Amino acid sequence: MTQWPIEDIPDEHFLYMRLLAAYVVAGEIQPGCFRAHGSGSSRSISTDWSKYSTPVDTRKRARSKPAADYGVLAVVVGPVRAIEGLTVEHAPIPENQAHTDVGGAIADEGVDHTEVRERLTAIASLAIRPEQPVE
Amino acid sequence: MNWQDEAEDEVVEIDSFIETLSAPDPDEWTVGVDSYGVPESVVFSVSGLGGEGKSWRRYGGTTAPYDYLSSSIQLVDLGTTFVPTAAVGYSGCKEVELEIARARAVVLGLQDNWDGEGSPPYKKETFERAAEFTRELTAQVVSESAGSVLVPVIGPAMGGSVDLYWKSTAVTLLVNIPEDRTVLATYSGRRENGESTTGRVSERRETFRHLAVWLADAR
Repeated sequence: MTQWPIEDIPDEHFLYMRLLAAYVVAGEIQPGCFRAHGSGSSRSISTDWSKYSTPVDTRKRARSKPAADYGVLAVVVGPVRAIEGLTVEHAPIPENQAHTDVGGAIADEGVDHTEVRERLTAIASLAIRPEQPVE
Repeated sequence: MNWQDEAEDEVVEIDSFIETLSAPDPDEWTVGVDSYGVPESVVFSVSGLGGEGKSWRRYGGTTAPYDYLSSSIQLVDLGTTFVPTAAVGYSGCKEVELEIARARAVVLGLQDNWDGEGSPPYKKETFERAAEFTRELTAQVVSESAGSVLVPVIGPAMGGSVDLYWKSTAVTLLVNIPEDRTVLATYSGRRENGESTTGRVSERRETFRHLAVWLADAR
């Protein structure tokens, strides 16, 4: 049970997501970075809502690897929702009020999601390059 | 038969054929490393194997079939024997080979749990299929339209698969090469006018022609 209320996220707000340096080539985001994690109904892409997070905050929340291994990308919520089959839902967790799930079509296991990943890549931009020092 | 099976059959065929000939050691065909650090290719043709004009390229220890790389390559009918016809850095494709070399080092250098999420390392066979797909599609683009070639970025994707991603201001194209060679590759592309294409690579020549036109028209 989280102590944070679940809120509606406006279309004009941003989502931030960490991505490893392997997914940034010549300053360009690569589609392989968009992959769902988890299992079952909780399987989704984890992002942070800009209402409660900055790109710097998102980078610092890295747990699997050091924050310096990651950059951060940004996408506007509306264009994400406009991709057929994708959902954007605020899903706060105790340690992160900003936590937001991008789910739906991208969550199916055993599928390459080529079309969805191509479209997500097209609307994403780098907020923090992986080579930037951690603040 | 999908394009991967066709390609493998052709490579096996040419390798078997080479073994039957009293020819120089195929390794001698590699003529060194060019100024970009990319080993130059040797292109040769063999009559009676795949028809007139069929060319084969030996690159980095791999023999691969090519219909045409570019109009600048001279194909020679050699009867029942063969010799290298030319050492070429095939114009327009050098950048592709550089990207393949860069990506090979990155993708095959990813160790177990490289992403901290438990992902396994990538298989060499998957990467090489992706590289060959890139070369063949590039060759098709060259044959469709003269001029510069849009170079993809080759990178890691989910489930041990490899992405090929072409991007310009006018067009994008993403091709995913699955780890399981029995599964068809998928593609999705978009143009700045909103036109899109998506599908599976079920028939190699037909799909390559479609994708080559997709990339060539938007340059």
